[in-house]
Amino acid sequence: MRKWVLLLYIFILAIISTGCWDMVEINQWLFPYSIGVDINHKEGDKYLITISYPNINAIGKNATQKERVHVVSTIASSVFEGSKELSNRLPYPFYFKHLRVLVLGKEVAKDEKAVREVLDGLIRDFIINKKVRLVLAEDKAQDILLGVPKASRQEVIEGTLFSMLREDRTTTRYTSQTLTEFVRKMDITGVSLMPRIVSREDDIKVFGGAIFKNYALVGYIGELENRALALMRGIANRAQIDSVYNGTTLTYSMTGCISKNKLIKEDGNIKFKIDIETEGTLQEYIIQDKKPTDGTVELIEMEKAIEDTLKSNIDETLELLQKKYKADAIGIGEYIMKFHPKVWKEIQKDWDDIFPELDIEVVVDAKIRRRGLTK
Amino acid sequence: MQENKKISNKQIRALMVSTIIGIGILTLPNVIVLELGNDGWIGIILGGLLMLPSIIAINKIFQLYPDRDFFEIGKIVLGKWILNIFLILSLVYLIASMSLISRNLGEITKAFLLETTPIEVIIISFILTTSYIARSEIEIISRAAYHIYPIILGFIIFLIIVTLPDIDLSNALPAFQLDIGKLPKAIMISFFSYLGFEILLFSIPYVEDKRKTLKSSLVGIGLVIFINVLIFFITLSQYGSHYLGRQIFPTLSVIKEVDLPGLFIENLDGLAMAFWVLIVFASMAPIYYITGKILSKIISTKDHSLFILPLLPIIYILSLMPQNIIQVSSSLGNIINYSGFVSVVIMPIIIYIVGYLKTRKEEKK
Repeated sequence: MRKWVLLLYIFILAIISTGCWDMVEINQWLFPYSIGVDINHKEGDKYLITISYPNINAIGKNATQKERVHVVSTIASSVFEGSKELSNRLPYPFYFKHLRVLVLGKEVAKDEKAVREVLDGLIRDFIINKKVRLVLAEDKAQDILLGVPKASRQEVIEGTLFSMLREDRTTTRYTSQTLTEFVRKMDITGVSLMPRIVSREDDIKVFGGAIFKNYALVGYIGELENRALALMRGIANRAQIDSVYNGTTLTYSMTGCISKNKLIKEDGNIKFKIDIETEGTLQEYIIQDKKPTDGTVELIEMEKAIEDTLKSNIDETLELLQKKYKADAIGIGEYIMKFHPKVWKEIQKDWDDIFPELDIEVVVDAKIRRRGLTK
Repeated sequence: MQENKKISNKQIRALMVSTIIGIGILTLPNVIVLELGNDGWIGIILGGLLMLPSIIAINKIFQLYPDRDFFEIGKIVLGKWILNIFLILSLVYLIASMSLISRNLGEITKAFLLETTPIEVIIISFILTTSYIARSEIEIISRAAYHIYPIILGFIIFLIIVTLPDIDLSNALPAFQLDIGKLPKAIMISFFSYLGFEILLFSIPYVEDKRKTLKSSLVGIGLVIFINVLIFFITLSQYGSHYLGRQIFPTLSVIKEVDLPGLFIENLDGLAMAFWVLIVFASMAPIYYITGKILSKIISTKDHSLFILPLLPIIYILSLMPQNIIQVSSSLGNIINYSGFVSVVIMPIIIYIVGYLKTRKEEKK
């Protein structure tokens, strides 16, 4: 009896577990780097989907083909329909596990429903990595993806766009944004950012940021505003800051930044205070003829000059965010929700009205720790 | 009882951890955060503590009647008919939870790993594999559990290490914004994640050193509570309560977020799935074994392994009945919650109380 049962087991398992429905050789997949989404103005479906993927035959020592990146486009009603549609035309199907970048066209970004549709598809999908970086094209996403092969920076393995976006650790000109983080921020305060990208004649540049409110594009910030924002959020790592001291440009290389938030309640009114502490090195000033003084006074004055620059920079940014866009991109709402839940409960509903009027005080404390080789 | 049928206390602990931790671990942070927000951990801990009386009762039953197994004790204490009613209710619960486990395993494996494989094939090969071990006796199952136990702990440690770079503990704030009124429902929800310790009813009679069994089974449930809370905090600190509420399988989603620099470690969900299938296997096998055992007692046969294969089509058909993944949790989940509560919480406690009164009476005489 036992023997027969065992034999039956082996027999059934052998039938069921041999072979694999899902077996696809790795060279029979296409691994897209990026997807671009645009609104289609011509006849047909709503979106123009552009997908870029590496040409495996052009990678490696014995490359047989020259063109390293393929870019294909189609008109479709959704990203996934577009990819299916393209799969019919291309030799192999797409596999989105290694998708890195989503480029949104400007028109898509202005359309709340379109942004919601596209992001929901990506976030719902089982395969796609949720660390997909989001970026907003200055005009059309298709132009950006077509422009990538012309860029002076080329990364075949991980994708040029992605490698550029990842560089935000060494700059504050832009702050890269992942899909998860974008939606997460949106859930809390209804405001999220993503960097902008522009394709010029022979190069591609990532810069600044685009402000989204309730999944619709409301405005832009430039590189300097992005720096101010990064300082306020305490996520700025390295940055070069130019300010003027004694009529000469003073370059300060920031190596670290800490920002502390504080909510001050004064008889019913709330005030917000942000303390920013930066430290860094004196990068460039001017060669002086006379024997340079070794005074700490001068250093303190230099620090003061840097602080003033940053302060005015931050104030301009706050003005822009509070008055023009009315968008809490700094994450003040999130801070209040986390650390002052009782206050948040009261103001949550009217946060959109409260934020533009909120009294935000910013104190910058810049420290020059080192001054290079010369005095 | 034969001499070589012995289980050590370490194995009891392992058996508890590996049986209780199963499919619930993937969805628990989400369902609990929807109910309690950031304070979901309170619900998780309370849900676990709710199990303590029944675990203690199970252990005490076997101290009242040493050297007897659960069915004999049940017959002495409750009488044959009442015991059988309880057992049939347990059967409903066990078969429903096996179907739920298989269906969930099938759905999730299909979604994350095997896209074009029919779900029927995934389910049936999973049940077949489990039925192989379920045919063996309890000490073999506990040895298997003892080997899978380090894998579970390893999985948790692995999860902590890979998610560490992205953890932002301030996401767990604000804490203690608890709405007491929602607590009972949250405990009900977390209750499901603690089902499975009824394996104690069937394994304690075979333990070598019975004095320490209570301690090791309490350590076992303690570990489970700890692991559940830990997973809750890992997912919460990664996502925050709003976004966590969106994720159906937050534990897997968190692993998908892993993106360590250098492109060395990323897209780990395949690996995590492989671990997880083993974990689910370890929680399905004891339940399958118990089902066979109960059936063999109701029909009064000696060998439980006769019933394992005939159960397979029942589990299989039941697991494919719900139309979609939402129905799976609502229909099967409800059956399991109610019948499970009766058979793992109420039944042991009743047996203990009645047994305690009866033995006292006999002592007085």
